[in-house]
Amino acid sequence: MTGITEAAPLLVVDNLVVSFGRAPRSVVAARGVSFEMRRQEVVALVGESGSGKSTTGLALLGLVGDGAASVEGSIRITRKNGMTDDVAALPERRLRQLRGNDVAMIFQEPMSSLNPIYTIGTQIIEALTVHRRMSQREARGEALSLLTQLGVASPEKCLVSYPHQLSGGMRQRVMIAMALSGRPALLIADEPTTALDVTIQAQIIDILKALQHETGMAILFVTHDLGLVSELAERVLVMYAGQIVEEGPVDRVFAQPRMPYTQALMRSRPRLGGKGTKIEAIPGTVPNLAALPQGCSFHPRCPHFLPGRCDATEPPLEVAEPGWKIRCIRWRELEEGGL
Amino acid sequence: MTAEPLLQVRRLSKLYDIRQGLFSRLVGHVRAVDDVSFDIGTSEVLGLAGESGSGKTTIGRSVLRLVEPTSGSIRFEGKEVTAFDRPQLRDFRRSAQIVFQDPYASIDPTMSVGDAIAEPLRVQGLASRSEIPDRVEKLLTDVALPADFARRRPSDLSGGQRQRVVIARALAVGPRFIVADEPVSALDVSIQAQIISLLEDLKSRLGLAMLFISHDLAVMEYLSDRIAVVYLGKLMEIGPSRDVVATPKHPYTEALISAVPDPSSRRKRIILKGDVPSPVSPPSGCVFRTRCPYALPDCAAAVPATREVRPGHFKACIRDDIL
Amino acid sequence: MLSLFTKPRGVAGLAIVLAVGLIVTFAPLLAPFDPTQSSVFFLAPPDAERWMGTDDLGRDTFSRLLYGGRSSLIVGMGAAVIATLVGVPIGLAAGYLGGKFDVVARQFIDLFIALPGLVLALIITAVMGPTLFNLVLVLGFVSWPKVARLARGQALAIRESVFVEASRAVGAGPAWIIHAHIWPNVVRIIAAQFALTVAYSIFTSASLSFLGLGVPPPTPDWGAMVRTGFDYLALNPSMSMAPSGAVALTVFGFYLIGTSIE
Repeated sequence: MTGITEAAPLLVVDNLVVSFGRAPRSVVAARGVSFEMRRQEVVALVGESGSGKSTTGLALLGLVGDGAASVEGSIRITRKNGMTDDVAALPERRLRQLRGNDVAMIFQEPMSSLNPIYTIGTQIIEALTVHRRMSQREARGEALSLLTQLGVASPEKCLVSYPHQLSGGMRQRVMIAMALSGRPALLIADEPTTALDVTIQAQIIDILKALQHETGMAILFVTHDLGLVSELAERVLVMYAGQIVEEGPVDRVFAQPRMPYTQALMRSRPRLGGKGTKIEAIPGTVPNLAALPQGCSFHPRCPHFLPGRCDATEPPLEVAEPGWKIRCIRWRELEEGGL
Repeated sequence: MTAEPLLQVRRLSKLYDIRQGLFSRLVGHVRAVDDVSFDIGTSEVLGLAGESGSGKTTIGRSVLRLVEPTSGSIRFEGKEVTAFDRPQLRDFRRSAQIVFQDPYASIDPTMSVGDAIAEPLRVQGLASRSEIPDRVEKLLTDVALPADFARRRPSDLSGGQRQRVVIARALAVGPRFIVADEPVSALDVSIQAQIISLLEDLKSRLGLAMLFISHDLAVMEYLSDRIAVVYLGKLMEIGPSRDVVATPKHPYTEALISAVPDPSSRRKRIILKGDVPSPVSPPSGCVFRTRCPYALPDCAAAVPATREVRPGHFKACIRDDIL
Repeated sequence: MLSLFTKPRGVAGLAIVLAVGLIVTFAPLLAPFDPTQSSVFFLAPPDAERWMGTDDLGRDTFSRLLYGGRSSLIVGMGAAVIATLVGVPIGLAAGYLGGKFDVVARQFIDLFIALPGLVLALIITAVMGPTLFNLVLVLGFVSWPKVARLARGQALAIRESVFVEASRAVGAGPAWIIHAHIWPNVVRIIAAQFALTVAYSIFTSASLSFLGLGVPPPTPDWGAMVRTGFDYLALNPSMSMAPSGAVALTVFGFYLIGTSIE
């Protein structure tokens, strides 16, 4: 054994519960989320609105802790220095050291994270001087090389631009450059391409892939777009109503999903080039987190709903085989019955 | 296709003025739509694909004269829409309707669901006061909503339910043609399929023709008979949807299709370089040439003509040696 | 509008305004003395019979207070009605129709807003003469631009909304859109502005009275009472304190109503 740190996973989230509001009216956005990420791994966290995917992503940076939210459970991150810290228990001062240096985040709308009154150069250089203790000169050089690496055609011009002068795709590149400034071991990408056009989206995904290859940083890709998942990730976590309902290798989960929600979701999307194949809509609506159904939260919309069982107890996340987990009490009988 | 198409759009252009300074001096134009022509047959669904800035939304609005086209002709059932006066335009709105993208913004929050659906009937004088409750109930049933929703407030409804209300409103006048402007983009993935199925059902049940505007090619292929692809206000390619998706003839369509992420396959992708140029000063010749992987010096010379490459399949590209 | 009856501040505001309204309406029944009747007990301090003492002419301050609210309320409400009747149509038309009408209307509105209301009211009242009717007119005239500006801004925002476009798409004309969409969406904020205008007008009319340009004597008026009492502040504080308190309370009541409407 060369060392415990290398064998230790990069991230261990254990029974994460995030709730907003005071007790009688509180809304639980993440309900006992547990998962692990290894170094250099790309994992997709998929879900619809209200699934808790974004809350989970934010919790990893300790960004839901203040205000009305309460965070329970543990989020253990192995830091660059080999120490392991629990993000859920760290004070704000220590969290700030962790953010950017160990874990960084990019968002759907880069405009909201960029300061409109400073040039791009000022903002990237500031990030570099803070995170890497570089001099202004070094930072400028590094900023240029980062932007070049991100496929910015004229990085010099980009540095002297203000955020509003850039296109959406360009702003997202700048955000990525800033996120990379601290050389984080984990990048949380929360719907980074949702606001972009498809051809620009393809550019950004391509860049993220290349970066991951070069730097070896792990990426947690939070998205609602199943299509994007297979472009980027090896492993997928499917969330529904605040819980992980299926977890497994992307190729196999998408080829043969085993949790009824994942199955229904796959069948509800038309496929390009698949003209003639019918889609099946999922009935009903995404549940309201303040009034969750009893038992399995998907049961009111599930084609395999069994009264008396599915609505009686909350199903556990069961290990179906190594690396594949399913939250459904009927998965075994459904598979044996060929459903 | 019938001899006379339901909707015939010829050389449609829409320019927006750019004004600057204290005295609003005219300093230039944005060519939102530039010389676009297409037909839509009775009960036919034409998909209109494009990215932001492609002019697809402006085309949809112009066809209904919700924005006034700068030039070109729009003929609906043989009548020139651009020449309609106020009463004619009001009558036209009984035949042609629109469904908007954002179901949260397109219903007046101060109206009940029933009033929102009844508004077209009242405005057009299509039902007497006593008939309205029955008509509203029927329309709610048509879009698979319970009849008691008429008394609800829009704020009590989910996005999918609101979009059904918006569709019911559009159906109230008994239209033959609907512009659907990104009707599912604002909805959750699991809800999108419900609305797509509803539109599909309405198309076959009511024989509705549709201009289906979207950036989502998979949804578009599913719902459309033909697909038109626009880029920077210009038509790049138009043809039967199966053909356009399977064997695109224009380099932009090829790139657009390859960029669509697909959960079950890892296709080779063509990554276009750069951003969409500004519509204030579009490139000369072919507007796509600055990002086109197949561009030649000749592409800058003249605007490429739209040519038929297969029966019913047109493209605006000078190269025949590719694709 | 429901928020008015559910929010504590709305309920409190309504209660105050209602109480003041009832008191001034039934002043003849409630007042122990004739408010204009002088007596020899001038500048008397409060006692069991005359709760707030008497003024310099020996008139009962409490009775005058009850009657004095009448002119304040009439002026406040009247001015707000005029401001709303003038300001709302101009504002809605300017905001919804736009174009040349909007350009002209906006210049007018901005011009009047730039002038300080009290000074303007002072000048006009001085010229026209201080009668109750003139006061209502003058204060309404001073307040309409604010109402118009608000209505214009709201109409402008709602005109650009998707649901108005949706209404146009089904064939609705300007009259229908203003009636069915713009008006229901601005009515709350206009109601709020109405209450605030009442508060402002009561306050301004009191200020005018204080400056000697209010309701002419001998009609009791809060503003004029404050003015007269001001000279005897050290001698008989209740003479000016009571009417200023009444003005403050009424203005506060309308303010609570205005700010509790969402």
